[in-house]
Amino acid sequence: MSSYRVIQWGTGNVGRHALRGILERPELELVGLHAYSHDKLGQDAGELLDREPVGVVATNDVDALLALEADCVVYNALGTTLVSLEQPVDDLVRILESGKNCISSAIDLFLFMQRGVAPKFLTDEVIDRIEDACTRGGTTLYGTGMTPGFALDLFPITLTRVSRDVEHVRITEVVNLRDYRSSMMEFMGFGLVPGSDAEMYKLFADPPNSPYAASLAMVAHALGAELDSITYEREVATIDDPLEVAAGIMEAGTVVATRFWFTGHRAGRPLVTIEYVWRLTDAVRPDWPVGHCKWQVEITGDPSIRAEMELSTETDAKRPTSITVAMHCLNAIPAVCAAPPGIVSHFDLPVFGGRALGREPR
Amino acid sequence: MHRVVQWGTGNVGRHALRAILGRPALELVGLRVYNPEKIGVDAGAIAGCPETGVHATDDVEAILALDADCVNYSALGATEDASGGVIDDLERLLRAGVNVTSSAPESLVYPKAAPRPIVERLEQACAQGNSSLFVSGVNPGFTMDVWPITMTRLSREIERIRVTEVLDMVEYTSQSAMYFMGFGQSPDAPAPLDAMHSTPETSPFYASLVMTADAIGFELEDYRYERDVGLAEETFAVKAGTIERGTIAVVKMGVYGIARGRDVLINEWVWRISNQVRPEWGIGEHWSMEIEGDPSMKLSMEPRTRLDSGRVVSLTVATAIVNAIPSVCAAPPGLRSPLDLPLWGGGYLS
Repeated sequence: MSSYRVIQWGTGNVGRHALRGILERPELELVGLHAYSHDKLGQDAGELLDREPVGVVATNDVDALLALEADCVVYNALGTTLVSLEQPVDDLVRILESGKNCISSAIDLFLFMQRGVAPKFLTDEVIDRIEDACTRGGTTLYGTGMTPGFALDLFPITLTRVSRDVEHVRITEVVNLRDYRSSMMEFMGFGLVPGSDAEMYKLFADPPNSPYAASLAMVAHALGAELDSITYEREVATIDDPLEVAAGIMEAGTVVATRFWFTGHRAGRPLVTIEYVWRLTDAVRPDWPVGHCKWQVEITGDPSIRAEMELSTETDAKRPTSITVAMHCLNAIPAVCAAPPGIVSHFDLPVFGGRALGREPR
Repeated sequence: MHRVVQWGTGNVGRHALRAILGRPALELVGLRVYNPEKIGVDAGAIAGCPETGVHATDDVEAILALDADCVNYSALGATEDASGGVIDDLERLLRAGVNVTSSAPESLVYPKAAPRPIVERLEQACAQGNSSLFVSGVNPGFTMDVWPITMTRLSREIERIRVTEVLDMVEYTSQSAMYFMGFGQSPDAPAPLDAMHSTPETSPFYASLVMTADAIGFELEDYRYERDVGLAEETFAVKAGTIERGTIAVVKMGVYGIARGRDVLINEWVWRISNQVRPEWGIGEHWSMEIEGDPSMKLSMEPRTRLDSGRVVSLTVATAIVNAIPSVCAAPPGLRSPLDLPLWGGGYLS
């Protein structure tokens, strides 16, 4: 088995999972670690995970990191540590031109860096800069993740391998957040009266430039189509009596479930819909899907296909999403290192799986 | 635009023909049939589509003279003399410089797992014709390989993968198919399914296990096959005949890939002509998958079609190879598998 020298960039929710994965896997060797938080700098990567030291120390010295010999950088810098697209693009350009391949989960739109997709962010200038960096460094960039990066795009696209014709593809994420001790509840609009303009929804105000534009465009691309427009809609459900959840009390008359969806249209008809159903309780809107953490795909056509995927993990906070983002990045390392230089997407890489550990049965 | 010949117009071939006619990126240029009654018939009439101007023929020389980009080969079952005939056909097409997407032979869904002499013959033909071959279907070719492999992109650890196919065959009309499946026979009667699956060399599903094992880094040590049956409690009739009390009404089979001394890759089938017998094995028509590990994953997939006899297996075997045509035409020469071709989706927009 080939061995890959890896720099881990970021140690947040996703980055920690990735770091642990790199240390666990025999085919991956950690050679560098980038951290943002000052209290992590100078700490050994193993100790950050409450494990034995491994001799690699967290740093924010980018020049020193990029001077290392490495095959690949796993770039899991995240929202809260980055203020705009400017910083990640600068980072990626430096990584790629230094001769290191890069797998990024940082910006959803990097999944499908095509001209015309989310044009406000993926400007010609951004794409040109990254392409030039790949050319100069002889390197490859692959953007991936889970939602988006897998459940909203690769999963339905893989199912269409057995499709003859397709009228519409709907992907629905169903999550129950009852047990989440998150400070993000208000950000997502929970506990607010209907009509409040929760912060998260401001991100969706410009649907063609929203984080979902890349997944919608990729599903359409797999069907040989381009989208003409993207629309966004939202519904909320309130509760009659106060509701206690892990994050606190939701007052009577406030939002305890939300459903929002983005639709990509082609030739005046909806072609792809990405829908989210997030609940704090199953007691409201029983007509919306219920579940702990699952994704449903409904392809209308011939054949019509209904598929469902349900994930669970016992690791850390028992939330599958962070671990799957990290694992998708690590499992892509061999395919990305073998790819020709340039920006690649799902469509440029072959079918591959996880080089997983194969733990003994419990 | 790829110029395509459809080879075969049976259950699978008719679906494939319809798919090719629907794709703007594919142009039907020829149609190979076996049944003398179909010779000269317009392809559209065979597929239930508008007239195409392409007429069915059994003249292979004429097919080769078309200089097509790809032959989509779905000659199956009754129309194919023996498995040797398929290899002869593929070799001839590849040597003549035509790419081939094919639903047979199933061992070639993963050439590394196929018998060496066949692989060598066909590799030579590809080298000579500068052509590529891709063999697929829904199982093998999708449900026990591409689908689980793709899911493990999310995996940190994998302990075991189990894929189960449940099919309802109550509407099947073919008596030979019923016999082959074992329906209506004594549980002690010799079973063609056992003969086929008990060795890796003859099982159509072995290559699929090897592909999955290779993709996720499991070293397969052994292979095992099991068959279990459910018996009719009362005599009943189906379209294909009468099922006597005490004979087989449900078949459950499994092939097991073994690594580190335990079953790690499990591919199971439940085929039934009665919902009353062993309902706990699963009812309806669907595939399910369970990946034990971190994260644990549970999946289900339920395709439906109203076309022809409503058999989704025939349709998805056809589409699995038609959707591959553009990638296979663009691929370097040789025997290809999903592990060395760029990802694709499929379906045209209706």
